[in-house]
Amino acid sequence: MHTLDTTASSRESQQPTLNDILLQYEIEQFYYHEAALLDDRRFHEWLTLLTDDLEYFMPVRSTRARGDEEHEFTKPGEAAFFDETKQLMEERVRKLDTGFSWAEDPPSRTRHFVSNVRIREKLSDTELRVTCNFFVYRTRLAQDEDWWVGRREDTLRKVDGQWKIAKRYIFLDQVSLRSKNLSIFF
Amino acid sequence: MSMNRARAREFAQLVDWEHGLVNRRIFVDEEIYRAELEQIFARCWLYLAHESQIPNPGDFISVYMGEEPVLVVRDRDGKINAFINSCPHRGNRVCRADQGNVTSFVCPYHGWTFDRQGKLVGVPGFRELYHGELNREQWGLPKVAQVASYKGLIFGTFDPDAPSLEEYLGDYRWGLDLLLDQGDMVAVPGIIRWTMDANWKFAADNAIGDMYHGAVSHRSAILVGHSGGTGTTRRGRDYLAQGRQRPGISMVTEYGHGFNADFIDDGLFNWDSPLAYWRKRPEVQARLGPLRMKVNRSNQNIFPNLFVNSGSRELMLRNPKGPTRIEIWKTTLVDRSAPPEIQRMQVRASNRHFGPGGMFEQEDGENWEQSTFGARGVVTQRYNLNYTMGLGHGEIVNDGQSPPRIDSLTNEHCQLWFYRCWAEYMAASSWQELKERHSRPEGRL
Repeated sequence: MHTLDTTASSRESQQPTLNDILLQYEIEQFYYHEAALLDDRRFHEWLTLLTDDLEYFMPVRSTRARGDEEHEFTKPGEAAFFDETKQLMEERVRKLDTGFSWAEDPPSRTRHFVSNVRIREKLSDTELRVTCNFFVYRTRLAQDEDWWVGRREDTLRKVDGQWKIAKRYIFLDQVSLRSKNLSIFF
Repeated sequence: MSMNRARAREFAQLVDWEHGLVNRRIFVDEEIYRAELEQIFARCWLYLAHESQIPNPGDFISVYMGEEPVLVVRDRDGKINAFINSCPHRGNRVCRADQGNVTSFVCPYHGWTFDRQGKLVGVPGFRELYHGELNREQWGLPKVAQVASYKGLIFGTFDPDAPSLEEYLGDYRWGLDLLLDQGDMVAVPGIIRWTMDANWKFAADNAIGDMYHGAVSHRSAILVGHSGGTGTTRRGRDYLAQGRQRPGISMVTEYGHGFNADFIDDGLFNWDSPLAYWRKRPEVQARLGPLRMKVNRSNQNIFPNLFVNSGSRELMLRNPKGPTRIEIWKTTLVDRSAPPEIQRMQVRASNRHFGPGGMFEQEDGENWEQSTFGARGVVTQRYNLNYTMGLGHGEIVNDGQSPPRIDSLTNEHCQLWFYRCWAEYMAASSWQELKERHSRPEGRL
């Protein structure tokens, strides 16, 4: 992989190196590929992008007064929309294959948009902490429409020359979802 | 009697419980919905919050009772107060945060200030602008008439004539204890909230006793090994035996509550699961007794709109937001007396089971939206919905092992009971009338 020669804070204040630019390109392409797999319903291929020790967590948010922001999101061990391991994600994908997964049968149509990709930190020789914004649109049946906006915080790990997701925290901007379910992936 | 009440009696006749028929109008009609807010939500005891969500003086949580925004606040002396979150001056919400800790609430519009009991304690310009003539005693935040707790669950009612919470819950507490007596149950941080275009009664009807839908609606989850959310079931394919009666019980109680509970299947129950720990505790066995220790899990509904699930330990309030819209509030309970790693497993089991992303609940939302959609057409409305499963076969057993119960798991007795009691609330002009004339489980349902 490309080497990150500076820390996140100094990276932002310094001129980027060619390696920085190449790495940024590589990570963005990885996310576009991932989004395409999800939107094309190639979920089994998507699963191969997740490491075996995956932590996939979507906390619950609440409205808090200024000064009480530390309690805005729940943490692992508390209520969560998604609280998954790799094995549990595999179960979710197998569920879709059964032919009886009614919330996704007929299947939803989704569009994942990923932007504001920022490599925040080099965690080890093979791991990066990356944040990005997302917009996910879903339409279903004739007119059902949902959209979710938020921020993802990932730990990406290079395994055998391939980027994989080792940890994904998904922070939605909504407190109360304006959708009947979350039967898709983020 | 007001016009509204007369109309409400007419609406009550849309439920023909003797024949197991329910008119679809009650799920979409705006006028019926307004009457429900009056006759049911302004009258019944409604779930507010769990005591563990506001442990300290000054802690508050912002909730809804029907469509009314309500603040639940712990006072300096530990007492829990509840009042409407709407300034008596111009109606603004005096608090816009969901939870937090305060010494007082200051309305952001003109600055009227209320203490933790909802009393008006500060009015800018009280002397100069109001000439000291405003009666502050009279202009506090409107109080919830009665507030009481049952084993940590806080309830409130707007009706001062409502019976006590104990009397309102009555025999149903035997069922509620299936969850609350498992251990030292507290709420974990975070209330999962989501919305859908469904009538609140379809959600209640599913909660109180729909053991019929699982094998079909939740087939996909069961097929991949996720069955029931208890974490104590081996491969649950047996649940796929659609159309077969399984061992279990149903119970309906006064004022509209009810539940069903399946018994442990020895071939499927995993006694080695860490989540089976509480069943091995002698004090739990003593509290629950032999009949309830046989129960695997139960689906319950506290009238009108609180779903209680003893299997994955959650409380789900379905707040009405109009005739065809609900917002669900899911609170997850965990046993504080269990080891931390088991508490983590309990929370994960619940996170994965119910909620919008839940392996089971993903499908439920679409079902209730479809049922609601299916009640809209004026021609379609001529065709009643069918609640006749088991009708006439529900013998009430009164053998002292429990409050009156029915020794059958899959039936529509609880659902029909819910609508039967709904009709009684809709027809009654007061709590006095309801106390005198309401259905009791007797004979054969």
